[in-house]
Amino acid sequence: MSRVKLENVWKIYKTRKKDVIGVNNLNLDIKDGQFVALLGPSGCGKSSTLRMLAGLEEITKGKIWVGDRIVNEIIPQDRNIAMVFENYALYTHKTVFENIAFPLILRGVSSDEVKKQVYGVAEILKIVDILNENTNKLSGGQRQRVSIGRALVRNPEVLLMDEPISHLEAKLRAHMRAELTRLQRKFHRTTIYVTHDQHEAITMADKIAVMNFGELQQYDTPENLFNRPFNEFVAGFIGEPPMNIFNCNLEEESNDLYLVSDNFKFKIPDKIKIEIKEEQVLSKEMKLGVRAQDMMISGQKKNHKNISGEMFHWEIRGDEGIAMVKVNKNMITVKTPANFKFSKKEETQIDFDLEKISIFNKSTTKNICVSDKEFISLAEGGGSQ
Amino acid sequence: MSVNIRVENLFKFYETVEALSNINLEINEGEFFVLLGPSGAGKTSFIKVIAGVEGEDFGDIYFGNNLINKIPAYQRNVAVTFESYALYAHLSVFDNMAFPLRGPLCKNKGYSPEQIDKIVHKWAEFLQIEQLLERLPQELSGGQKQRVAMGRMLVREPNVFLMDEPIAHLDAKLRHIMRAELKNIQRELNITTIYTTPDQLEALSMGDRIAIINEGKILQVGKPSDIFDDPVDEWVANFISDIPMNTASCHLEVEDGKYFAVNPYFRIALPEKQGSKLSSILKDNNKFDLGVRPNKVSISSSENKENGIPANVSIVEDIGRTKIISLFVGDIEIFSKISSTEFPNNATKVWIKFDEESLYYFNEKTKARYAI
Repeated sequence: MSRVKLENVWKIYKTRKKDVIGVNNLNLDIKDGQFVALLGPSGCGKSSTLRMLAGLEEITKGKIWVGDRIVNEIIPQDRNIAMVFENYALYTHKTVFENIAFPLILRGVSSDEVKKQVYGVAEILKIVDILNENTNKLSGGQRQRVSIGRALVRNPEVLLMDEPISHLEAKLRAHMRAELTRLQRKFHRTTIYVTHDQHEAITMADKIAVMNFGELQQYDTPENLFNRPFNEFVAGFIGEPPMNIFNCNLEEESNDLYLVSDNFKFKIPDKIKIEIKEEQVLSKEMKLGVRAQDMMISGQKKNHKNISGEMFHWEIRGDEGIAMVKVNKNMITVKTPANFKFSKKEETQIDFDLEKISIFNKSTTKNICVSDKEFISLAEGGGSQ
Repeated sequence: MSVNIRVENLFKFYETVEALSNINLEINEGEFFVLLGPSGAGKTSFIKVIAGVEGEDFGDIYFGNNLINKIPAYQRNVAVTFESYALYAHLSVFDNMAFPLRGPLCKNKGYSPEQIDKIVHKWAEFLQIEQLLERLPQELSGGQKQRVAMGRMLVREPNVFLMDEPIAHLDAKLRHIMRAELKNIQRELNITTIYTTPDQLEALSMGDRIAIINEGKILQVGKPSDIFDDPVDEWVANFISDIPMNTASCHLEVEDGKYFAVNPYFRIALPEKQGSKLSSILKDNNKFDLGVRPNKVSISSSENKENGIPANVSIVEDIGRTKIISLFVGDIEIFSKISSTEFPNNATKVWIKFDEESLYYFNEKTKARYAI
């Protein structure tokens, strides 16, 4: 069993002027065989976390478990963790075979056994035919496969990947995404994957830990992150285009709750449960969040579930389109069909799918539909299960 | 003054390597023209030759009616932006933008400090960077730097914009905004623009027309929707979309006047008109590649007798209200892109169906598309 568990982990970088908190009291529970992405903007602490796991960086405070061992004091090569880097870090003067065989030779494995294991890994990675090539002749995708091969041949309990494909060209990246996902499913090895690209994370990972300023924001499945972001940061970071945000107030009128601004007055559907005590919430300033996918440009007249705006820009993306619409001074994005007829500066109505909105408290930025219980579970590292 | 650009039989070699091979293009006045291709395709070579920083080895380049082959770069009145912005780090935004007006090549124009001030402010206002004029480049965000680089181009009032992957390195969110911004600036000024990118999404969303380039050759020129709907061959069909087109090599069978696409894993009926046309093109050699875009592949959990193909679900990617599903039909991988609600929950064995009005047919060997 190679469950990975982080318990109250801190990373504090000491500089002459002040201490900088890299990772702030992180709790994370990663189950055996799971594919977890650490996602966030640069400086959010995701790489520090990975480096502490690998043993390349000291753990300031807290415990890291791999399987049933605490690895804090164990040196990197004894942790049975393999790491794949963005720059592959291949030995350029060695062949593909020698690169993959290297960790085995270091351990004194017999040459017959080395051959068997290298071929085994190479077969799965489909690189048998290039085993005798020099690595500098390989394409980016092939090199990445070789570096993964070198990591897997050690038969590690945990595989760590640090932005392994972010520098590849868009086409190759799409291909490698599917390939890595498939490989991970096949090897079924606990994998922790660091990326700043939300698309990579949501398409590959079973669960994603979204981080910002060293703190865990949400630890959840891609679907939940998209549909039920815990706070405004997650809402803005997950999804393309970013979630649209409108300032508004929460008001009560004859037992119904409304979101009200100069542009709209939306009744909150009963389906959306607001679990925080109402008196704490009422008449507070809120932010309404809605995804481009959950709005529609319609020819309808002004009604109780749309707003008006002015068409600014439209772009086609092959089988669909994205319109940018000015609503007062805000620019919002709305998905459209590919055959949409765009005319600039045209006045238009945008329909909302109110059952799919998120509501954030303006001062705390927290999603008011998420209960306190879930936030506590997040702080304990379980996230939603 | 915007101009049209005409390129005739253009060749460019680096030693013996052919970087540009017999390029013929006509770019209209005020057009936003995108050159789309993978790295190493010849995009940057093309920009350099048009800008005049590298010579062509053969062929003619016209701006309007003027042959410009022999005209040096600084007299061509083109402005180039690079991915790295190339701002002067020690100069303020104002001085960066004023630089071309003070440069040695501007001497004969003789701008006074007051005129320079006026011109810089005019374009800073246009780009909404007036409040940044006193800052140094290091104090700017990526998007702001890009705007300053644009400003430095604009003060010279060039006839032609050349943009070489200007936003490729920005993060996804900013790229989204910059796409709209660059396009709107270009629209407003109506300056002929050549824009290179390896990203099909940028090309589709920004270009008035797109030229697809690979290995130094232009493969297809057309409006974004025309290239997307009518690609000339399999390579273009794959490159122009975010998920590659599904293709399977098949042979054509005729039975009772009906046409079937057959391979070891499936046998599906083709619409009669398409089948008969394909049959007349293929003649005796009945092999071809069948293609269909992922968004035209539907999935059902119950057996579909009519043209349904049994498939195994391999990977399901959820990209928010939409799922991209990798399926295997025998050893052929097929992608389907469908709305999340249309995907049967946790299904592993499913039946897929190709939308018969959206089938593509390719030559089995050359991969060129048959016009059907």
